[in-house]
Amino acid sequence: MKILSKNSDTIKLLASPDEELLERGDYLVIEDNGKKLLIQVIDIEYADLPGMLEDTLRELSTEDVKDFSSIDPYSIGSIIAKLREARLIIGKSRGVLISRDLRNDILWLPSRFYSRIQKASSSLINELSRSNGRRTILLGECMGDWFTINAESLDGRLTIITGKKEMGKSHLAKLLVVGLVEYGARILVFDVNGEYGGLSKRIDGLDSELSDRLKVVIPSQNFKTAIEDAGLKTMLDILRYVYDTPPASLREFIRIWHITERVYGRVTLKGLIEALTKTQMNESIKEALLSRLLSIEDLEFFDDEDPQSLEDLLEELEYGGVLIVDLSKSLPHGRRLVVEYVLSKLSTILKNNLYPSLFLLAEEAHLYLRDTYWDDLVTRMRHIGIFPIFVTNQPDMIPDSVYRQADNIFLFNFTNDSDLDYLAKASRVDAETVKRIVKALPPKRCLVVGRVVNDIPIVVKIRDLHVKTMGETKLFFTEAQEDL
Amino acid sequence: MEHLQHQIKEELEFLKAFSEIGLESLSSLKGLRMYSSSRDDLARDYLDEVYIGFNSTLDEYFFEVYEPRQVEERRRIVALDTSSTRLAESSKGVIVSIKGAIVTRDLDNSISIQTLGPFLFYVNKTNFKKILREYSEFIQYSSRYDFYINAQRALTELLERRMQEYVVEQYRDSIILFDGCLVANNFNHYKSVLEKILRIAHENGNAVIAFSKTSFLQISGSYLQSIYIEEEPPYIIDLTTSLKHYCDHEVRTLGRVCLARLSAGSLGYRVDVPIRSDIPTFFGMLLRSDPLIYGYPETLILAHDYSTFMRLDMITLQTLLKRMDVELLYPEYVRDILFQPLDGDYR
Repeated sequence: MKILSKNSDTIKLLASPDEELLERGDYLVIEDNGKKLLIQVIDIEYADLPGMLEDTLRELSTEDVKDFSSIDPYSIGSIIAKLREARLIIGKSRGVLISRDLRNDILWLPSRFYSRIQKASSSLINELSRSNGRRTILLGECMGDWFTINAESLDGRLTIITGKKEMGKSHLAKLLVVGLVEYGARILVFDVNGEYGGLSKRIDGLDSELSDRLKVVIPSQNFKTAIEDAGLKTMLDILRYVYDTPPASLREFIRIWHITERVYGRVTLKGLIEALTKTQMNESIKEALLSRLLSIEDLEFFDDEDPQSLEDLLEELEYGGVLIVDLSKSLPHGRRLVVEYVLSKLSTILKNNLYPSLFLLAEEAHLYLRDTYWDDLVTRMRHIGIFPIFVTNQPDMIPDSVYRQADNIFLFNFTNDSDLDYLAKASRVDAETVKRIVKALPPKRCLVVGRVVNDIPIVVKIRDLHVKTMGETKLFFTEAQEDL
Repeated sequence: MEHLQHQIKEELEFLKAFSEIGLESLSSLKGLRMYSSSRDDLARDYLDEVYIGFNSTLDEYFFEVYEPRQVEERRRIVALDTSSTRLAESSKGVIVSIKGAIVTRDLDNSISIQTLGPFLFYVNKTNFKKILREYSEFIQYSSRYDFYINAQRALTELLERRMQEYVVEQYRDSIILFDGCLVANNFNHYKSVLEKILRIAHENGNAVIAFSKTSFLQISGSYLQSIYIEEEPPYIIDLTTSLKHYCDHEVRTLGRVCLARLSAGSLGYRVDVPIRSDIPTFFGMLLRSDPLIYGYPETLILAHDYSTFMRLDMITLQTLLKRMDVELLYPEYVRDILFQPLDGDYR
């Protein structure tokens, strides 16, 4: 390989076709006089050689030729063949290595003709990408070797996992859950597809080591709460954001809440409905509030007689555990109602220091997190001790500001250019790297950027899990069908 | 060279000697520092005619106009062409590379292509007689540049004539298309070689037609190609009588010199055919047997394409020279390094 050019941080290398096979994301070290430049391969193209068009056209015209022979005394045909197949490797400079320290502030270029270019060792990349910490989570493979991250690099951070469907986002999320729980982390999971319960079983059907650390709650079934536990603020949020209640109606609801409190001594859903029917107010507002409260009642999430509190559920999590809120059986507005309740309640619990910090994993986050929550989660909740991990296949549903504040991003394949443009603008790495690498990632491979890899973008092949991940697509045409 | 033994058919034995001489000449190259030749010198045709001018109008000369005869007979077309380039030069000598191509269109319209070369020669003032043998009489020079040009020209002519000999001997009852014209300059050897080629072609029932892509023939200051008559193409104007009368006695035309405009709207080309040729039948058979592109036979275009040096060939040959331990200097690069960006605009 030889250096061809450098333009900004893009370095182009010429390589012969029989060079060692490279993958997007691999690292190369260019060494010259003891100094080393670290570059990451983001793409490979054919070298644009002089006369290539004429040569290819001529080659094209011989496709119909019956017989082609040549007398080539110096075997230049083989040299031409090699030249024609010359490759152009496009790389991004990631810094100058000075005694195993990667520096971006040093202006240095290796010689184009005399420098030595070779694939970086996996140990070097592991070392450079290692963040502070000692709790390692085995993520998968990188450049032919195992690749680990530190659990500490997720702690107190905002993490986003995104990619198109069936690329392995949920698989990675589960891997992170398993890894974090092993080190005693508490995690609350919004499980839209009812997959996370499977973590309690190994692939062979036996109980996994996580089986006694998982608690699956299904809203309206084994997870019900009292209106009073939710509180007036949460109920107002639910009415405003889930049921689109106008401000005039909300004002009347506050009045009704206080009347119920005064008349019945406590607030229950039944009490609210009764108070609403008996209180004098504009008939259309009364009708609007009543229909909403009846709809909430129909969900059966609020049970004022036998409620469970979120605090109690969290208390059940021993050192290292996962509370899975299974939203798979909830209707869309029921799902949003539960999320409003849980987030609001969590915020109160943590603010009052009633519970230690926890990770919040939001699967298919775009389906139920309202716009105003994003900034809230990213800024306020981080300070009170909720460390979100968002999983989504619709990156444009998450505002730019969230990406800009994201500490870690795991990018799986996207082929849609508008998604890539969006990610390129917002992620912590240059746009070209995102566009070239992410577009070509096969399933179960992702580009990891951010603190978790010490800001050195790494392509990782995510390892398999020995527990049931249950995220696979259910198919109609199974092998059993084919036998019919 | 061993692999060459397997590549070369018995009929192409001459190539073996040709490449052996080339290889031998290259043995003295090691450690030489040479200048890469100018890019403008790539792939020149050196077999085109010398300049001939008529200082009068076409009407004043005796000429005949033919129409191609409508014939049913189709013939195999065999076209050949060569090209050459000076790869590098120094005060001592020049490295010339030559290559050729033979393209055959059979009666079923299938095409076969055979490329020969590239062959490399290092020619200097001490070895040129050994390399060029009879053709060395071509090398008359007053300057180093003339020597280089003539060496290149002589080597190209040598390969081309040998290929022509091979083709006219190998094929029967075919139309053989040469690039250039049937002219022997003022050297007896060329005349006899060309006469021999035309004789064998005739004996084997081949019709030789030589097409010049460019011609320096001028009539009243106009190039031949731009002259039109009041006829609809295709037509052939036979200028042989006029030429014999007026042209320089040192240029020996061994055939009939014509202007052929074979399709409407196309350019006219100088075309030479052997003296005893039946011009209408020759061209009738050609039109039946080979498609024309801008009035020029497609098979001959292919021969030209495959004998031409491409940029990639040049890079490869220069790589080969570097492997032979020849240090190549690039005058353009030196100029760029010294003067760019100050003198870039006016070159």
